[in-house]
Amino acid sequence: MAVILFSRPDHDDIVAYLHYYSKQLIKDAQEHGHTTLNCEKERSNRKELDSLIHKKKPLFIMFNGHGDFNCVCGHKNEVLVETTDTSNILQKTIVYCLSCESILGLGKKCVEEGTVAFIGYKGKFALGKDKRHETTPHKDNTARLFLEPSNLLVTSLIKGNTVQTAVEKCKNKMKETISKLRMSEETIDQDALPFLYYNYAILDYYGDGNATI
Amino acid sequence: MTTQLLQDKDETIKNIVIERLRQMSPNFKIALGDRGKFFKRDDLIKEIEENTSLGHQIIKIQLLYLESLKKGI
Repeated sequence: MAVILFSRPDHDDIVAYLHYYSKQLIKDAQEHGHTTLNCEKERSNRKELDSLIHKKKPLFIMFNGHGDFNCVCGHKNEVLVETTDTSNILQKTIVYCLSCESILGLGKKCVEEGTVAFIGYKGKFALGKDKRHETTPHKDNTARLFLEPSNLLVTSLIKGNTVQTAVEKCKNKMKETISKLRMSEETIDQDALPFLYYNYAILDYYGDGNATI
Repeated sequence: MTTQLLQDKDETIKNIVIERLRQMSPNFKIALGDRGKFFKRDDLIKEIEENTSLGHQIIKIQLLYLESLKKGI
């Protein structure tokens, strides 16, 4: 069984949603016999991440957080990993970045320097929500539409599926959701559709599609 | 196509997207990478009207979706 590291900042409205929805993934990983490392809130910082990676050598790392072409961030947007790093701390790992654009620069460079596979979004990840449930994210069916496919991707990897299969399962879930919502008479569902389709279009991976954790 | 025609086309697309956004539920909010912020319907319209990068991104997303209706997914 593998060691899995989750980076889960919680310092603003957006990452708070990612933090909430990824809680279940830690349970799922543990139920499948994996060892989990939970870098959440203030612990989602560079020092902690470096230390855990060197000591525990996780095979899979999920980053929630903000990012851009060159980096992925943690608590209060501290840069955790960036393209200008002299050594690749993500070597020999499978990475999933639930953040904006990181796959394009950071992902590409990491894979060139020994990361097994890097899954992410080739654009700014869109996250919708229903403002009537701002204080009760577990009741927010709109946010769920955006984050459930992402969770499915991670649980697929946790269950031993390959990177390529996990990405395909996630995309299929997105397609299924889009098809269902097209029939919905709820305005808020129709509002979400273009953004869900966009997330579907920008999800991708670099590296070994046959890799598993 | 002349420059004027291209400008007219862009303006037409912009207006179509704004009209689509006007139909949005006031309860829907969207975050698009902007650090920590969710946008309401009126914020999105303002971004498009002011030709910001977020406004351009919203137009691209709406057009991508409209194309998918024609092509299928």
